[in-house]
Amino acid sequence: MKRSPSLATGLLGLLALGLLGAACSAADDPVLETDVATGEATSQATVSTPAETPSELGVYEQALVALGWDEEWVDLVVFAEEARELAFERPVAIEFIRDEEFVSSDDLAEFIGDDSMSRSSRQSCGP
Amino acid sequence: MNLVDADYSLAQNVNVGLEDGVIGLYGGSGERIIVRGAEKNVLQRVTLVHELTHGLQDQHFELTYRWHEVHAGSALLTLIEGDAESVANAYLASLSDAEQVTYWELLDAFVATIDAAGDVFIPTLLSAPYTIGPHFVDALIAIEGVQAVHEALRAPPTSDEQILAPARFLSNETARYPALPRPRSGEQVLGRGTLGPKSPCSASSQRGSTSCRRWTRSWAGAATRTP
Repeated sequence: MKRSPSLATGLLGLLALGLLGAACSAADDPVLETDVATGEATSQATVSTPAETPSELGVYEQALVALGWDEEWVDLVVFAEEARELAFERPVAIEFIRDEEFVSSDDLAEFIGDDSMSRSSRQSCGP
Repeated sequence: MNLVDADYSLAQNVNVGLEDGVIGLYGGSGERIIVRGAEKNVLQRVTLVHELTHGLQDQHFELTYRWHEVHAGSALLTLIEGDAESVANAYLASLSDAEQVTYWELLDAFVATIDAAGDVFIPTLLSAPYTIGPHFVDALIAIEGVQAVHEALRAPPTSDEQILAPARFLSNETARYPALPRPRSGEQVLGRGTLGPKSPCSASSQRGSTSCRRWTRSWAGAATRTP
């Protein structure tokens, strides 16, 4: 299950190591700029005006979006990474499924019938 | 042990717990998270943090569940879910008081929809990794920092005993499993396992007969066989 990091994930790791502290407050920090297309961060001392800023996201969050994470969830991604001092090697697909579809979904059936334990769930089974 | 009534259907109650009680999934092979409900409310955000932690586990550690090794499988499940729930709990704690109140209201409403038919044993047992596991993980972090969680995911605990008493895990103290009597003539062994300390612990917390702490202190190993 362990995989070698790709070029992009290597960059992500680099960003995580080098810029994590700054990126946490980068939404309020006009100094750092990020090339969103490549995810490459620079320390060029340029002040961005609100009109020039396409997103409220910080540098690191923008890099995550460039790598394929949904902008809506990058704060949660960063929270999990910081909590465990680990960086994602690549994005994970995220789906929200309506309650009735979830219960009848093949995914749930497969989960219940799966004995390889390659899956994990979050349960709340009782009072 | 008088844990359930004679007409109790174990299979039915386990399926109800799994079908109704799951609010999020992480699929290791596809690196895919599925969250139950399309509202994207605070309950689902906390659930997403839980599942994202499984994503980190999957991408950084070789987590092979071993159902055939009952003791290790149970302990690993509790570690994995405890780790994910610990991060989810931290995220919840970081939210405003109003958001936390909303979370608990949503969770209570969700739990109320589970048709457990008055059963307390299976729901308690199924949710044990999510309630007991975070205490184990948080203890590792308190004693040796987050690196201890990484080490545990590389070399997981091998019994519920180590989960319930983290010091035993850190000192590499393992359980002792007694030998079972040989099957009598004509008997066929259908399954082997252990009640661990976690199962009676879960049951006793409902029945109020014996404290979980007492179970943990006195438990050193157990084995069962289904003839």
